Formats: sequence, C-alpha cells, structure tokens
Amino acid sequence: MIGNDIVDLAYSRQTSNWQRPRFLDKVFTASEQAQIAAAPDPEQWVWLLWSIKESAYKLILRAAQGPFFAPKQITCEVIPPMAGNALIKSVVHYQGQVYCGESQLSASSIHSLVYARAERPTFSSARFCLAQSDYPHQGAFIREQLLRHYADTRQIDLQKLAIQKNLHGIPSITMEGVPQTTALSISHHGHFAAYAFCE
Amino acid sequence: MDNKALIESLKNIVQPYVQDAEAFEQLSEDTRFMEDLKINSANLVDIILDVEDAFDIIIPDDAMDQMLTVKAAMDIIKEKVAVQ
Repeated sequence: MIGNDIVDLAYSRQTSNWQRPRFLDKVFTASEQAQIAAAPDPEQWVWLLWSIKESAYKLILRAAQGPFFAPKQITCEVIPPMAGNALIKSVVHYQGQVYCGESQLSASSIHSLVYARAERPTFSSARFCLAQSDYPHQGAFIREQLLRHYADTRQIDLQKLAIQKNLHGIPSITMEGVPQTTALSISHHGHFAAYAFCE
Repeated sequence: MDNKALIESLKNIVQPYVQDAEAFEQLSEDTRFMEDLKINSANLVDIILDVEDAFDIIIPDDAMDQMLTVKAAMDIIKEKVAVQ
C-alpha cells in the first residue's frame, strides 16, 4: 500500500496563500506549526508537511468508509537530520496507525511517498515536469506513464491495461477490464505529475 | 436564507477554485468539491475559510471533516448561522 503526492511550488504560490488568516490552524497541529515557524524556509515546510499528509490520506482512504477532510488528524514529524536536498524522512500518525514518509525536495517541487511503517514495500515511482499544466492533460499523461512502466515491469501488453477510479476516487489498474490488486497512487499539480505502484 | 440563495452564494465562493467547468455548470446539492469540481485539497481549506468569512461563522474541525459536497456545506452553514 502506498500513497504519493507532488506539489508544484510555483503553482502553490499562485493558487494558495498559506499565510492567510486561520489557514495554518485548519491544517496543522501546534507542534507542526512550530516546525514550520522554526524551518529555514517556512513556505517549503508548509508544502512538505502538506504533501506528507496528502500522501498518507490517499493510503488511509483505501481502508476508510469514505472520503474525509481532517488534515490535523494526520500528524507528521520530520526526522532529523536532513542534509541539503537528500531524502527527507518522516513519521506519520493517524488514529493509532503509524506510517513512514519519504520526501524529495527541489527548488520547484516536493514529492512525498507514504507507506505503512510495518514494512517498506518494494515499489516503482517516477515524477515528471510537464510542458502543459491543464488538468485533463496532466491526468491523461501521468496515467499513460504509469501504465507503460507497469506494462514494462510485468511484460504485459500495454493495450490490455487501463486505469479506473472507484466511487471514492481511488485508482486501480485493470487488465482486460479486470481490476488488479496492485496498490498505486497518482498525483498531479501544476506542471508536475508523479505516481508510485507496489510490486 | 433559502436554499436557492445559499447555492448561489456557494457557487460564487467555489468558482475561483473549480477545475471542471462542465461539472460547475451542472452543480447541484450532490456535487462533490474534489471528485466532481476537481478542486484541489489545498483550495478546500480556502473554501472553508471563505465560507466562514462570508457567513460570519466558525466551522470547527469535526464539522469540516465531512464538508465535501455542496449539500454538506449548505447543512453546516444553516446550522452555524442558526446558532447566532
């Protein structure tokens, strides 16, 4: 099981104002807000923690009764040390369950992955910077990339594969119309798109 | 406030964040902010804050939890406005 989320930082700046009154209070616990305030780049930290929460939510949603919006119930703590642009690890808690996060930061994007702490799954993941950022294009592009990668790793004819979403927006791969059990997660935001799927 | 006026107010509030024009045209009480209007979740926070500002109410976390559809937003607004 895996969840991933990618943030286009430039796009976030255009479409969100994290410094808006009460914004941080809706999303982050006091402890998380303290991490943000203490960070060398608070804006980056906001979207780092956000992408970890989103990734965890996508994973949690698979087992949940239905969608929900409770970002403060999904708490994260980044594990020091972090050095430059190396992988950032975090621990995530939700209703007594513990998850692990791994995040890659760059000047333009943040890509996070979350999995259940019990065992780090073997997974494939990729991220892309797209020339076009309109919503339908992003979605079609990243789904195609994922299916190509999946087809390659399993030696399956790409033509037999498709992605469908269930009632709650959870995606699955179908082969000749039959849903596969492979856990996957797709994310697209602004000019960036990413996916992860388990072996 | 009647339902029609409330839906109109909500339409005005969500419109800047909508990424599916067709779903917005067909907006009804059952419309889901994320799956149908393709509003990204960071902007769901903005919608909640915009609703609080527009109606002068506070939406606590446990109410926010399920504020994912037009109808859910309408119910929360009616409940919170009535309390004042």
